[in-house]
Amino acid sequence: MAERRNPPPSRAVDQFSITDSMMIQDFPEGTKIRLRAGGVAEVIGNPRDGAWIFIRYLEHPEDPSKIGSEDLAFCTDVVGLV
Amino acid sequence: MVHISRSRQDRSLRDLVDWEQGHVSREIYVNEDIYQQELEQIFGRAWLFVGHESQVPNPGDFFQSRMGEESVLLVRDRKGELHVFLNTCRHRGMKVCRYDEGNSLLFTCPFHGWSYDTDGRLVGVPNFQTAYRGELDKSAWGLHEVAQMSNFYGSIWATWDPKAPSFEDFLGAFVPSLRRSFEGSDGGDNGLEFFSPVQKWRLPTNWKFPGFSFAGDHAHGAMTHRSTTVAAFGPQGELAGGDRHGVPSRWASTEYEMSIPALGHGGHGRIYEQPGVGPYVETWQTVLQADDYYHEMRDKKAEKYAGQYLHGVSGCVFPNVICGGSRILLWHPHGVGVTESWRFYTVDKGAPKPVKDAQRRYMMRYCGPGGMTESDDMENWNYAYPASLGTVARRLDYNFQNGVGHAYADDRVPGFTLNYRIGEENQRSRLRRWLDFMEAGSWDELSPAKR
Repeated sequence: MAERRNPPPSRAVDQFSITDSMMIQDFPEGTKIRLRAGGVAEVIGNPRDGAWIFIRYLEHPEDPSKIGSEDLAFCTDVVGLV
Repeated sequence: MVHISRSRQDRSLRDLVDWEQGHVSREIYVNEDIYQQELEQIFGRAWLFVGHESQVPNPGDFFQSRMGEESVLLVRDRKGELHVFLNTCRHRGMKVCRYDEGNSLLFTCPFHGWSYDTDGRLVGVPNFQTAYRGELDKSAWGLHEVAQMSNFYGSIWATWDPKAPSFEDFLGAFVPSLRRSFEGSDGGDNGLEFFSPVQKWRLPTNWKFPGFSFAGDHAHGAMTHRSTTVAAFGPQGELAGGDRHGVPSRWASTEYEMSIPALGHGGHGRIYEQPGVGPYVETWQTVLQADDYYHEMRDKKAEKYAGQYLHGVSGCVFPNVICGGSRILLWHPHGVGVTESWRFYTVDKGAPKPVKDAQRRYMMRYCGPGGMTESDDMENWNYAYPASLGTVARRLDYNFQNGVGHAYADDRVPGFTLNYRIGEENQRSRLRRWLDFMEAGSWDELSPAKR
């Protein structure tokens, strides 16, 4: 049996409802958040559209090289405050 | 690509527009197929006015504009660069911005959440790592940007056609005239700012009624605008018999119809008999601070242009915009029988607030949806269109014969064709260029330099 090239996301990451999202619209810069995929990040910008925030990784268990890099996090990517 | 129903081969489109003899079929104003062809052949290829840099002064500022029927965003990105994007998400087409203007770090589609940076890059795709497995090539799905953009002394123009000539080549001999349209009243380049917001309203008429007649139809003034002249509501009151435009200078000059037939640009022009800028004519008697300000600016302009002839024209940049006289008039096609009319009002960047207020109030009572002159004009445009729709009516031609055969060149305004000031030379020029665009397969045929 051939190996699946694109395995589905891990159960831990995938088990959330489509409505299971944080209200991120008012998160100020400097807020520390925990991400659904694991890891911790700091909010560095907020367009206040309720959908996205700019983040910088503080911890990234799957890929430590990303620590310090910047990214966008979607509302369903955020599971809580640190 | 829209099917071109009236092709170059059968010459039938040319049969509808005989600009040389001044016979123009009403079909070109009322026919749905021809309208669809205009969107493709004209608005898909010509340089179009988008806005002004003063509308987006800061990083993240945006202004929602239009090109033809389509919404576009004029955006200053976070590095300060200007862009013009089609306002549609690349995922499923939703508008990524529904505000007229503002400031934003991102343009986030409200449908599924695809999100674009201010430079147009697709930067956010929900569930990118999970559902998309990280495989979506974000670099290929950014906002669709215009093929070319030009910042012409603060005014922003764009075209969808990568093969279009430069904006300056598109303008040809009209460059100096348009440059002066964006001068401050002291003669300084890029001296204007735009008032916000823009006035927008829809007219039940074809876009060419206003677009091809404005600043090219001096004959209508005495009849259509008689009431405004009687009311003497112009900037100088009853001076010059209450003329609605006012008197720019008391120096001897002659007004003409001036156009560039091969390019379609043109308007009402004036040739002075001496160089320089004439003395200030009292204009703002009811707002003394404005009168003092404009008098001072006039003197500065006179210093700048001492010894130079300021012949020229304010008028139409083909196909659908008029620039000059402290306003930009823009007529967007919005269906064969609907025109979305936009008015931008301008003022000197450095003018004191009372002067800006006086200027804004004057322009609002002069033109726009509540202005006296355009209320007059709309009566004509809005009734001429339905009166041209009927089965019998549309068999008839419009008459554009005023001044046919009497145009001439004048060395004082190279590149322009002149005719008597009350005529239809400008309208024939726009119709000629309209026909060029409708027939031409590419810019290789449209660019006079390549003819």
